[in-house]
Amino acid sequence: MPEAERTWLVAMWLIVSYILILVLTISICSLTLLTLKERRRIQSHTHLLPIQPPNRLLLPEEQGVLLRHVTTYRSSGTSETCTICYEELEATQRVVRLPLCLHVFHYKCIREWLAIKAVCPCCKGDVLCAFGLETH
Amino acid sequence: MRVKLTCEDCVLSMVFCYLIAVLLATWQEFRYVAPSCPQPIQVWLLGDYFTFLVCRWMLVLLQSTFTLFHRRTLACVSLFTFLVLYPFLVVWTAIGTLWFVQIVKASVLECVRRT
Repeated sequence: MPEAERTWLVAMWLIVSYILILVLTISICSLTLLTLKERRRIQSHTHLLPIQPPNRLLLPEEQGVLLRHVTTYRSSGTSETCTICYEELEATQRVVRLPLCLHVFHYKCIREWLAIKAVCPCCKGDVLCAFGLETH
Repeated sequence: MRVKLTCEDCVLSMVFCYLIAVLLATWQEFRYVAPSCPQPIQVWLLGDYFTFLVCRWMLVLLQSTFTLFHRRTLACVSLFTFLVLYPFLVVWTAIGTLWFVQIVKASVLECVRRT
């Protein structure tokens, strides 16, 4: 490669670098703005939700109650998604529809989730209260 | 976690891999653009190609679907991209510009001396 061509290549790549940095800056800014907007939207709804119980572990008797609410998923016409794994719910899958709020999740996903937090992942409603279990 | 890898991303990765391969193949003849100004511009080029490639992969990861159980991974990827990779890229490009200006100045001086 001749010397002049090498210099041109570096110059061109420098210009491309600046353009790419500009594009990257714009995408980072838009991503941050979107995240902030989403967080503000969630925060504006938080005061309407019931008080959240602290982090806890799912007790064996509570797992039994959860098991009693396991059903086979039946589509209501429109497609529904499990908001824990973002997978679309399919017929014959084992799901749990939470009482009161009626949000539906895969049994495996909600069992894992409830072992961390006893609230609905969608509306933050108290799941133990909905299951008729006493909260301490 | 579900990574959304598009056709454009695959093409972009292949182009960057090709550029890196060409640079490595012409490493020796690329050594010093201006002999009197020994700035390792080929190292800068290699670093820049690689950083852009990693940056794009990180953005692809950030645009992927994260489940509620992968929040820590998402936080780590965002922190690495915004606090390490992005500032490094800006500084690295500034260094490249500085080296390039030095090389061009040295080349012009060499030309003047020759004539």
